[in-house]
Amino acid sequence: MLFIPIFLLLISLGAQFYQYQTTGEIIERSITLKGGTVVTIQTDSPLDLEPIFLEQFPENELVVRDLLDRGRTVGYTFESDAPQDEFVALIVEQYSVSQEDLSVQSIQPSLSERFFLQILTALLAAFVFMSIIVYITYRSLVPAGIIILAVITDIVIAVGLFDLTSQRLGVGGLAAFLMIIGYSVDTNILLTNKMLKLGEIPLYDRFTQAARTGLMMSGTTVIALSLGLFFTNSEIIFQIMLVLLFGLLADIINTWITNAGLLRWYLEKKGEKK
Amino acid sequence: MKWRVWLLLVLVIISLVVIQFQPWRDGVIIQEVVQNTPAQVAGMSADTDRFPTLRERIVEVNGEPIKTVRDFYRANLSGDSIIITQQQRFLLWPFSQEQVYYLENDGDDAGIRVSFAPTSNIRFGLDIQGGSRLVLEPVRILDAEEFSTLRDSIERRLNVYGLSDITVRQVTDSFLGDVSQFIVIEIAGQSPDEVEQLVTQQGRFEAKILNQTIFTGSDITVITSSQQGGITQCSQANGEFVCRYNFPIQLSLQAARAQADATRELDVVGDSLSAPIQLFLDDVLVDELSISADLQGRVTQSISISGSGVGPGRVSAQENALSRMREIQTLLRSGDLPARLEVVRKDTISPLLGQEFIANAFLVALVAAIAVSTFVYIRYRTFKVVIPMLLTAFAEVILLLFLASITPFVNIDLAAIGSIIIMLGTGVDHQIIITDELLSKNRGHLSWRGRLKKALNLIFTSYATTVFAMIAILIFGGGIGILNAFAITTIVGLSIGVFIARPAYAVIIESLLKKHYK
Repeated sequence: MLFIPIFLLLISLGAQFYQYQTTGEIIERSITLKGGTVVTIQTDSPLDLEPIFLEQFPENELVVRDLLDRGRTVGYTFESDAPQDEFVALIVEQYSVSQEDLSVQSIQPSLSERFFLQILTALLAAFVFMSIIVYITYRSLVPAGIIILAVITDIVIAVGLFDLTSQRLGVGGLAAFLMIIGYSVDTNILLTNKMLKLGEIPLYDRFTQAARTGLMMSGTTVIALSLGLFFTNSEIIFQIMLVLLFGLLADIINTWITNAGLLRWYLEKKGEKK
Repeated sequence: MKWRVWLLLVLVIISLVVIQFQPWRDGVIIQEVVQNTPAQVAGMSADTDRFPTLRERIVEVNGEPIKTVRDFYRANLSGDSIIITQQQRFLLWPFSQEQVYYLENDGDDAGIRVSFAPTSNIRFGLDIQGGSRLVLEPVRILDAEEFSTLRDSIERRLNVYGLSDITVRQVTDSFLGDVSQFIVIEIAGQSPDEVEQLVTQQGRFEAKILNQTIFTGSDITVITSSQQGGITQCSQANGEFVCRYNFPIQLSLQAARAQADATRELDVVGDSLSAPIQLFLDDVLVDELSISADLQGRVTQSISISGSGVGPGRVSAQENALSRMREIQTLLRSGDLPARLEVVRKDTISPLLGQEFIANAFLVALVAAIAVSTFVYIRYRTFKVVIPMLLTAFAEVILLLFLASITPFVNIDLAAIGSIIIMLGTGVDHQIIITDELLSKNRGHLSWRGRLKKALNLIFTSYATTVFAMIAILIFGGGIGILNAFAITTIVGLSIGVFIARPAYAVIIESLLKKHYK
């Protein structure tokens, strides 16, 4: 059964490798994490800005995303490293946008680089702290190690799946990776607790008990996130939910196949030693 | 154990009373009234110290009812206008040309900045409420006292300019030994460009004769009556209009003497002296004035400062001149900054987008709640589990919103939305754990209490891992507040859940499901 998670892992590692080859980074960052200007407008104009943009700013890049509200286009976000004032003026002119339908965010590359590094460090630190707690709970290297391995894999797979989409990582998405740590460790702890501490009933029954609860937990969250993705009209919330969904899907596989499998192997070995 | 349920109930009731949900409320509130505008002259002001739901709302402009911010933007305030709020009636008259000169006004700006009327007392962050944010970095690292002075000076400068609904924060961010300092300015209205212009100038003013500094900004007191000072003349040259402005100031005695000494040395050439007095702002020459001969050697403390503005037409030249004058007056009144600032981040968020965001968030929550409830019902086949689950999850969020209403440390911005997502997700997960543990058929030998204890153990471990992860963020994350806000709000939210809501849930379903257990 272990071939499923391994397969998934290989796909996502492959996606990340490809991403790295093409852009020099494992994950593609949006302007909020790289520096530049993001303009959000509400409009139903179908005008394509790209050709006009390239005429005025031949050296700069532009990323356009549609804002959807239940499937209908209600606006756009434009990201660019073009000079802010001219860029905003161009958009306002082309789409006849009024002040109240416009939001602009701009950030210097030095600041956003710093910010990005900080969040990455926080992610790493959070992970380490979490691992410490896990170890203290089980006081045994192998079960704790398996959990930590599973959580790492969750994040790696989520990154890979993200790379397969056309999304660019913003602050929200990065924070969502942090949230994955918290969410995914819950199911692993549930599994490990049940498997280790219910000595009196057969291994398989312990597993099914844990799985009933655990899959229920993940199931409700998957449903909520999927609906949220469809109904939300906010870029940032969409990305947060998408990252969480990827992490959760990875978690379902990693907890109930990988973690369970490894734990079973460990317990059987321990049982033999007795 | 029952007391926990009562506690939760009481807290929720208190929260609802304080939050004052009023989603039916429409209209706009006055966020800011700019100085020297028709609105200010008419007596309007922004009541920023009131609870959000008690603030003064504009309900009608020139006979048209105002329900949304968009309605207000569409209203025509350039002629005589009547603005009605729920308490008062204001008559606005646009400024005459003369008044535009004297009161340094921008022509057709009535001077009112609005935002949508709050439908509750919940404090929202800028990303939702709308407004602007400027993040600035000083060009060099300042010591604690200088940094504090910088912050105060900026706030004073903005207040003098006429902006009241602003917050100025100093942020020191250390990341692995590398320290950065930032000033974060949040403005309720949407005019970051004016503010940017104002705070990126250090404001060092110097007057020199023959390259010798005679006096600086600290020697000057600006006369505050705005009836004096304004446009003196306009002329046209090379297709452009140039308008000159002029305003009186008082010099300190010491400076006046220095000026007298310097002019004594000069020769008289016709009506003036041989050298002009040159005015520099941040080392850039802004004006050069010839000194009239009768001022030679005289100690005089009353002098005037002048300058000019240009434009393609007379009106734009006047406007430019006036805004330049107002800028210099502000800089002189508030003093110069310890260091120059550079803009590293500038955000402008429309309040309309935020309003729609909230409406949408409610929709998403509702849809998710229905779906999750259905799923839970299918699994447990009884409403006695579904309803308490929904209610306690709902209660947790209410408590968090309560905190967001009473303390400025918790406010609902995008970070908080993330925290709420975590709270709800973890909350439902934990409740499922409790439910399964209590209803499980394989634990016949354990009492209800025993089972609950096992469930709570598991929950507490999960809680600990997430909280520790958040603590890691607080220690290592730094960041310009947003990560910290997220971490703190999540810790607070999860604590409310684990210590109050979870036990309450357990008690509720215990009483509802005791027969199942038997």
